[in-house]
Amino acid sequence: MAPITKKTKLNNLSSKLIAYRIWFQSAFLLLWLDPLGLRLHGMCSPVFHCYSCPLAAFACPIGVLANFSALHLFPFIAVGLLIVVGALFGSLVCGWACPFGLLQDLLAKIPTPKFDLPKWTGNFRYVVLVVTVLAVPYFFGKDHPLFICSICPAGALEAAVPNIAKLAAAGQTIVWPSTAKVIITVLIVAAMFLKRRPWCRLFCPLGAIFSLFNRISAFFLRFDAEKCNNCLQCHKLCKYGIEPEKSPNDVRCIRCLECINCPQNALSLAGVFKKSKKTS
Amino acid sequence: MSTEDLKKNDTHQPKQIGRCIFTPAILILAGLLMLTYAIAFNSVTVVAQKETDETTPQTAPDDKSTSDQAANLQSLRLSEPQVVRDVTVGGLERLSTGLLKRTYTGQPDALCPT
Repeated sequence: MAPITKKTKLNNLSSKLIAYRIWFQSAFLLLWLDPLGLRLHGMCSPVFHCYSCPLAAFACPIGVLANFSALHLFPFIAVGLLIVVGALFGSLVCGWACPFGLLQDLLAKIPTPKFDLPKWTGNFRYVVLVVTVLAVPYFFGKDHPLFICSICPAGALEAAVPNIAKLAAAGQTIVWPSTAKVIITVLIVAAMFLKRRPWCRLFCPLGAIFSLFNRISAFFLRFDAEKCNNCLQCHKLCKYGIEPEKSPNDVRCIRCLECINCPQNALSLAGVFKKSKKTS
Repeated sequence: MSTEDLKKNDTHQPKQIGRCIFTPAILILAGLLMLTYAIAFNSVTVVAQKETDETTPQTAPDDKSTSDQAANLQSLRLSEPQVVRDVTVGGLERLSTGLLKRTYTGQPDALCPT
């Protein structure tokens, strides 16, 4: 039997906070919804939140990357912010701060049968990033139907829906989003009932960027093989089909941190800033 | 999979703590430098339609010559935060000449056209 081990301060805190993750996501949602009405659209947020949302506080980094690509400019603000946040937290942002992730987590609570797709489908996120965010805007401009903002379901739900409601309430002519955007949004929303975080795991270009930092970020998931007794409880704790003991900092991980509830404390949230004890 | 195999697969153990700190620290520094440069120094030149005076008699669009249109254009230097703000409302476009043009005069649209 593996010895009962002492948790680190960071791990102790994070394992306590996991139960309140939805509240953290809601608190971040309030932040992105611009409670002070500042509309700081000159700066990006590190989450997938459409700047056309009537309450958006910051600019969407993916929208900025795509638009700058269409203008043939290098987006220093968006890239700088994504590098800083990614290098610090990796995809922890996806699990704890993203409003579109919160929506998917809430819909996943509805008790419907959940299906999983093969692991390789997660690579489609990189295709979305390269094609719709970088290549299509650069070569064809932002009027192309595959321009990310023209097909983004977050834009449809966070911006188009409230704006349509606003125009309808004011009795003005309603401006509908493109057919492709409506179809994609309906499909993604339907998929949210059948798969956990379908957008994040299959299509999200921002998640694709943050996932690349998972293996090198300052905060990371540490697996201690000495403590693991192969109970595979972490497989049951992970709702995203990752095997944390094999790949604790997997690119598919959204860092919900559920797996650190490992009964042996073999998995923990760790940071590079604190010198750890040397393992033999 | 045995515990020994797991030990071999465990790729993110900061045994060499210096190496682990080095990569994120360099990236964070690079990101902060980019942000500082973008906010404090970077600017982009765009052309914009001059705001027309209400009292100036308007000519019909058909009568406008190319030279008139060119005379109505002014060059602006926008900081990167201003460019970001403009793209959030679809306020900038790239002309075939490679120039960037502001698509509005006065107050920008409230929303992105998509």
